[in-house]
Amino acid sequence: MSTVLEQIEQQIAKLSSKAVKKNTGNIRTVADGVAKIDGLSAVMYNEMVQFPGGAIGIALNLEEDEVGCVVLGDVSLLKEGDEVTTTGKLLSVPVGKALLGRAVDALGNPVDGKGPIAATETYPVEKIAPGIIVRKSVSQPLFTGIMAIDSMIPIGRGQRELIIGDRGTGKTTICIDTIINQAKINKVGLASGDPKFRPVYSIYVAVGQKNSNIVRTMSALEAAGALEFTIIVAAPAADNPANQYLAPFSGASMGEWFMENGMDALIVYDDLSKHAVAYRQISLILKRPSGREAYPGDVFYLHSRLLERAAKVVAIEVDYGLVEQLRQKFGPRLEVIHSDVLTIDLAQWGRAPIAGNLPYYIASPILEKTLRTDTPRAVFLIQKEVADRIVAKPGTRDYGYLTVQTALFAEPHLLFQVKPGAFRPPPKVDSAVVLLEPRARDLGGFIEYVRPGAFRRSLAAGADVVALVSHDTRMILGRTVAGTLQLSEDGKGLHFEIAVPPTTASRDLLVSIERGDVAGASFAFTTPQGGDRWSFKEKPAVRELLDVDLIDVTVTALPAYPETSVAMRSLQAARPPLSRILAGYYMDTL
Amino acid sequence: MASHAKKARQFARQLFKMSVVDGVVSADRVAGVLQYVEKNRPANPVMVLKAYARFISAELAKGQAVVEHAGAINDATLAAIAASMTKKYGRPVAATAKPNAALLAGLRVQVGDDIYESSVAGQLAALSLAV
Repeated sequence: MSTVLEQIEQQIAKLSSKAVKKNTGNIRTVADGVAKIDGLSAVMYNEMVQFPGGAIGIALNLEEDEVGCVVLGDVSLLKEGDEVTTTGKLLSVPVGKALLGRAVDALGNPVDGKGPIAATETYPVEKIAPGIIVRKSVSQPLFTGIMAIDSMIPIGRGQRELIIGDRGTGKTTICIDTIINQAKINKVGLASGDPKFRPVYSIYVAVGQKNSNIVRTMSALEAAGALEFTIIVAAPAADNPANQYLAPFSGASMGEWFMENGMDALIVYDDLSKHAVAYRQISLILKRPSGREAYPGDVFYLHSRLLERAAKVVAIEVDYGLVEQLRQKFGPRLEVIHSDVLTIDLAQWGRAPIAGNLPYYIASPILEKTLRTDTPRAVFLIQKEVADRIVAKPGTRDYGYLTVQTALFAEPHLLFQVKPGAFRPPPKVDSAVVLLEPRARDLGGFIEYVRPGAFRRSLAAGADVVALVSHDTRMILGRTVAGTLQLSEDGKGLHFEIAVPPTTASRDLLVSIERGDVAGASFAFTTPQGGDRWSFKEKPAVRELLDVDLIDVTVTALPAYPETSVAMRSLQAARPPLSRILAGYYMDTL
Repeated sequence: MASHAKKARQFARQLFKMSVVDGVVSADRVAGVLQYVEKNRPANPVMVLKAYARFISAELAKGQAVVEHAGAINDATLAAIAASMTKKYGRPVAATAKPNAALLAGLRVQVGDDIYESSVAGQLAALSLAV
């Protein structure tokens, strides 16, 4: 009794006297489990909406002057004119081990008569599946227990397998046998006490099946002692199409909980053709194009959304106190590495996106490290002052080394500012979020990387290299043999300095550089035998330059290598004719 | 049937667009539209006019803050609400009072689709849903 009172008191404490904003609409028509609603101008796609009487719906059709919602609940209680409100939440289902051994409907409500489910967590039904780059490759087998399959066409953990066959050929039997086999392996593994053993929990999603078949499956699992490791998500044929459409997504969310908590899960969708039929029904009642004697065009997108779910996140933290907090908060679903990010090889996670909250005093080295890592994008929360320096325009006070260094590798975007009140304790300065998008390096079907040391032989041999403008030999800025062009190669790349001649054309060029109109550099080279290496495994193909004969370095507005930059030394720039152009081509590391 | 309704809605939307001048529904234009519909009857006049009425009422509601109140409310409060909503939505919003004893206490302001709930009845409803 006291817990009930505590629960009510907690809720009362949560309620504030502030005005609550709600977006509302009114039911115009209700038919076939779909409500057409006037209003709801701020509703989101796939958002849960609240109908009177406790029924909920999902906003699936957002049209110019009405919203089409699939009602999940008793439609007969709804009538024209009823007020509908948005909830601001996506549809969620309960997840966790409490669901094991239970049969639930598409919304996670128990349907097996064994009482309520004590699940404490919920996951949204729809999640954006991560890209293939961040996935771990399949390395561990999943034994079905059927020798013919395990020996000839083995299945791995993280793999998707389609079973096709005529009616009554035993497709479901293979799935059930696999679930039972996982249970057997789990029992032996858990009994052995091996701390490295990762049990496989199973989720069986029955879509559009007869209730009698679902009960038979449950009985078979129970008889084999496998039900305790299994969740059954039932959306039988008698259920409305909305529930049949949602059930596999709910099952996927339940499976993701196991995945994110350091366990493995096997999910069986039985079957996706009935799911496609349910989706066709939904499309028909929502007046979407359903395809003549076929399925709606986006059924492939629907199934790809379903089959591509799963992800992995790694956090690197140097502060031991925070490491502990992160581990406690996220548990095994977040891999936390206690280390200094500057000492870690970020390439070990492949081409993964990077996000971070950077302390002021080491923001520059972390940025530099990130920029040299092959990443599709990087997002950082940093001090506003640093962000301003990153995105500064040429000629402004903030423009400097950090600006040029960032621009070498990436295109920076200042996304938004963050006020001190967003932090605890609040700092004295503003912060900002910046997005760094690596510049495209496709050179027409292939990407070129210059390996460190590629210029070493050419430079050591004292090659006669000229400095030009846009590879034009009519305008020579300097030459190594004349001592007016200095070349060197350091850990970052090829670095050149030119003592520019005191000509009108050179002064004009310096003005263009100062204005930022000319900001890139390029070079011409020939490749001796064995000086390059090609790889056609990836698309686009990759060319590595290992050893090149340098012919010229050039200052240009349209560089072939966008990572290059050219800048003018400010001190010397003030005293012509000894102006110098400082430039560098920075290498990528593979 | 469905295509008739769709065509009627499309026609009503065209009529609605003609009735709006500088983002505000013009009474003269509405009268003109009604005269036009009277003279040149469309295929489904009732359907068209119902859809037209819906569009116009939704547009009018955007410029109207209906302040439902359980206790007494003075003109200064109404003016403050109108000023605040005008600033928030960036268009002129007029406030009108509407007594509603079912709120028990507090206010409920509706501007178009948006409702700002600050009433005891709203809090109790939220509580009953949460527990």
